Amino acid sequence: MINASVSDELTQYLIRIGKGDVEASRLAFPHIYSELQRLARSVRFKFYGNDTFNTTAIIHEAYLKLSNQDGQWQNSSHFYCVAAKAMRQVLLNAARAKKTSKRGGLVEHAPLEEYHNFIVLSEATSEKLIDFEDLLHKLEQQDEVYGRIVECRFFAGMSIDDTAIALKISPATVKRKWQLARNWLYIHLS
Amino acid sequence: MDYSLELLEKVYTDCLDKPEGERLAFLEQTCSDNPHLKQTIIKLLDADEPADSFFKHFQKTIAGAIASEKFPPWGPGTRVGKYTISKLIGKGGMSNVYLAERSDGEFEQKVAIKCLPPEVVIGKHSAFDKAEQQLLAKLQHPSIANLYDAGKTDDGIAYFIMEYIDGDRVDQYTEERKLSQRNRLSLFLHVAEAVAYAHRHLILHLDLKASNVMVTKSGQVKLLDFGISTALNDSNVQDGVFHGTPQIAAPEQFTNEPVTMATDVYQLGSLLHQLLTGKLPGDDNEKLKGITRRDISFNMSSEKKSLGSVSFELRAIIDQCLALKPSDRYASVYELTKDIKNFLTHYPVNAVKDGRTYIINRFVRRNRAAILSAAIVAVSLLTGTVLSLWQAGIAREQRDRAIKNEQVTAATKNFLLDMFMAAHPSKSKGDTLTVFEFLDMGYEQSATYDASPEIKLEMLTTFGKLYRSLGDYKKSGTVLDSALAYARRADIPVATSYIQAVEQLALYQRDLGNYDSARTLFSNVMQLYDEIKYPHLDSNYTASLKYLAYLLKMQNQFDSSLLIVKQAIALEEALWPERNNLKLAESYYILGTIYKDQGMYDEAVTYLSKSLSLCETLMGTNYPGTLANLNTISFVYQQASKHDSALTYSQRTPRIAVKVFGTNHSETATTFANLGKLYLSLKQYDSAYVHLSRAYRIRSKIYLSNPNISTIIGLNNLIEVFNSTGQEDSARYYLNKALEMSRSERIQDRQRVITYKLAGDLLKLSGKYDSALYYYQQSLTTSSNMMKDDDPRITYLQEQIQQLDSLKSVKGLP
Repeated sequence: MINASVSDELTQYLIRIGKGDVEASRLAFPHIYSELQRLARSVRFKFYGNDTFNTTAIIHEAYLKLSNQDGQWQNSSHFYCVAAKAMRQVLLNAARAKKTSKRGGLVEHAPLEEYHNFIVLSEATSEKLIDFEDLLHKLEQQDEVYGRIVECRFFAGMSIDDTAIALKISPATVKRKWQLARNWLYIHLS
Repeated sequence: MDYSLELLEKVYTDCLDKPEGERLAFLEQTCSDNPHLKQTIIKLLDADEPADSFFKHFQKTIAGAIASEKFPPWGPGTRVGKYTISKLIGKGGMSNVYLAERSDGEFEQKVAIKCLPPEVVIGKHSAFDKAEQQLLAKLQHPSIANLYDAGKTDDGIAYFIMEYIDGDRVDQYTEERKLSQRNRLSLFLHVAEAVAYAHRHLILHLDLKASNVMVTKSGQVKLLDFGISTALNDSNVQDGVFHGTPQIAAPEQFTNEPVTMATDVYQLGSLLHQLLTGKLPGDDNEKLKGITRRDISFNMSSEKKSLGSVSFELRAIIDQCLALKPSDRYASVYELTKDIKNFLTHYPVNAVKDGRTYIINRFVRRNRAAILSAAIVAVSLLTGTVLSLWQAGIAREQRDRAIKNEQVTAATKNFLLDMFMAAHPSKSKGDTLTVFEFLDMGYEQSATYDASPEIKLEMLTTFGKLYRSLGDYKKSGTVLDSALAYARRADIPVATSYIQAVEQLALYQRDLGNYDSARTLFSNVMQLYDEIKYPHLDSNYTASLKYLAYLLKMQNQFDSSLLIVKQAIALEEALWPERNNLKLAESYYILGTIYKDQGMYDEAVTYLSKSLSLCETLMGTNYPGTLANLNTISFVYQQASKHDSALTYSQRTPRIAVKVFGTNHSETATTFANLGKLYLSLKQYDSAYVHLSRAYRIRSKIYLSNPNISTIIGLNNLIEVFNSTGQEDSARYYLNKALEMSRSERIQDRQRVITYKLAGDLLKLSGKYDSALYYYQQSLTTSSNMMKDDDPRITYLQEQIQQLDSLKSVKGLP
């Protein structure tokens, strides 16, 4: 069931994020992270037979769940922005777990409750994700905004405009940097 | 990296600003000292498209990895119960679907096997248990894929063995075949009816998405996964996550409120939207991706752009399905299907809340033909309107009576209203529309009615006709004028509908007694026929000829009239060589009446008899035409002073009138009155009294005590009977009524002079000579204005006055 206090807490964080409070982002992150991690698996159920299932859908689901029903989240961009980062982290952790765990049977033998807390990726996807992460990290080292834009655009499927709002930069900048980042990542990954 | 990101960004951006042809030169120049940067940018410039598709694919890869890692597919040859897997045919986030065949060789049977991971079959409300319930419920419906069996493998994987459907998803099916909206709706009705069937067995579907609706090669709809989705929803609801398909899920499925039949109604609405537009509701709006599903629901009404080409009725139906609150939706799938059927059959759609004008619009659309026939029926029932030929020509007197009579009886009004309302009983409850209100609204509506100019003209013409039928000549004229003006403005090619509009206007003028205008218009009609080279061997053409002939007859232009009606007859006899058509009966009738008016009684009887026998042969005895011929033949014989012959024809009439028009109808009254009058001429006063009083009673019922030409004629006839038989008291009783009525302006001088004359007769009989003299003089004064001096009636009055004058002088009264 929806946890009202988590939702209220998040609401407060998101308001602060909206005002440019970076600390609030950091505080909201774990809540959203744990929710995403949990959801990533169970959300699959609702998408069974549906090819629109992707990370965006999972984040969307988290939003539905955490935003409660009072419609207080005037600007969902901030949530999506934090969630995108969390999603990135969830996937990275899963990919690393897969790579380090040569057993691979963790899933099969873990008790059901434990299983709920993990995302399981294939080996190939895990490798791809780690490569992707390394490259993105290089960009971020020089300009942190690149990482944020890729998170918003790729993991959360946010529009140029929504990304611009969430990151407080102009849409033209988002567009330009996203195009460069996307193409640059692509030529280095393929 | 041999370059800084900052530099890369700057050069890349600058480069993009250059025209394509100059980029390379620009790079050569800018990056002369950094070949790696140059190479990178060259690659970047070409990467837009592949990069875009790479990332899309990457997203899918991640999702696919999340979704399927845990659940390896079964290979071909794997045995599941009595079945052997042939191949994987479908893969979802958590389920795999296989094609399988029976492995025991008992009989060939292809099935689909759907299997689910163990976790969904754990718990007391598991999918498995639910599936068993469905097996118990034994849903047997041609549009529902059969569920044969369910079970669990040793490693806990649940499987459901289902009817294998070789077909297409419903959305693909409709798009690929470019089905018409009607066909889409009919397909949807099959789906809905299957859902309704399941509801009757207390099974909800809850996942009515397009991929769960298949259409076989033969066009049979098949719903998949009944009960299974229900099971999934229930089993996983505890963790606060709903497991349906979010795009089609109803609001209550997100909030964990109870799901009901209304949930399926919601999803059917979503499916209907998809079938009609190719998209799910709210699908085409980029912005919606960033907001919640609940918001989508809230915003639905303002996001109907995708429903652009869908009519507002279907939109209303979809809206009602997609209402946020379950209680605002259709109460059942049955209600939904009913409304779609309403739409398909042009009945008002209940989802449209916008009252009367809408209902009329639908009515008009559905029943253009019915309105016409309603008009015709109404006309034949209306007191005193002349449209039907058979009633038009009985006698000049009657026609005048009819035209001037503005009254439409309450009974007739109600009849017409019933006819309109019968079209939509549920809307008629407590509705107090009058016929005129109804017509007025229909007419107003027709102005904005979106139809082809031809149909619009036809509608306007019909309304003009209706108003005329109901005796509202003023409105009829206005409407018909506007119909013609519309036809001219809309530049409608001269076609039958246009000609008919002109003809209606002509008939309207005729009914008003504006014979000259009517004549001009009829000439116009005939010209138009020529203009478009309309074939003469056609019943519309001959009908127009007959109207014209009849009009000329009214204007006493017997020669032209005769010529034209004979032309019509020649054409019709060529059209129907066997001469067994009712239209010919009409023509013979008209010819007969022209001869009658000309005093050519033998010829008149010849053609009227021809008409009579045609009517009786084709339509039987109980037909207005039969009645009209009998009456007219009788009238001709009376004119020819062959009263006995007249009586043989007239005696047949009351029975027919009662059969055709009913007991209490003005036509029936007229028939009784005519026969009574004949008996009166024959001085058979008892029979005269019986029939005349019957006519009077009927008219009193219809018109109550309102002044009315028919009633006063009836009164006059009765007074004559009583005068003739010396029943002074009775005569006086009716005379008082007649005199009172004669004061009304509705009564014509024609009737007034008779009442005065009868008053004179009665008063003279009673010895009240002064009063008698007074009424005789009144009658004479008025009569002189409308009759020739040597008319026997004038002579009679003059004689009476003379006589009374002399009596006065003899008795020496003052």
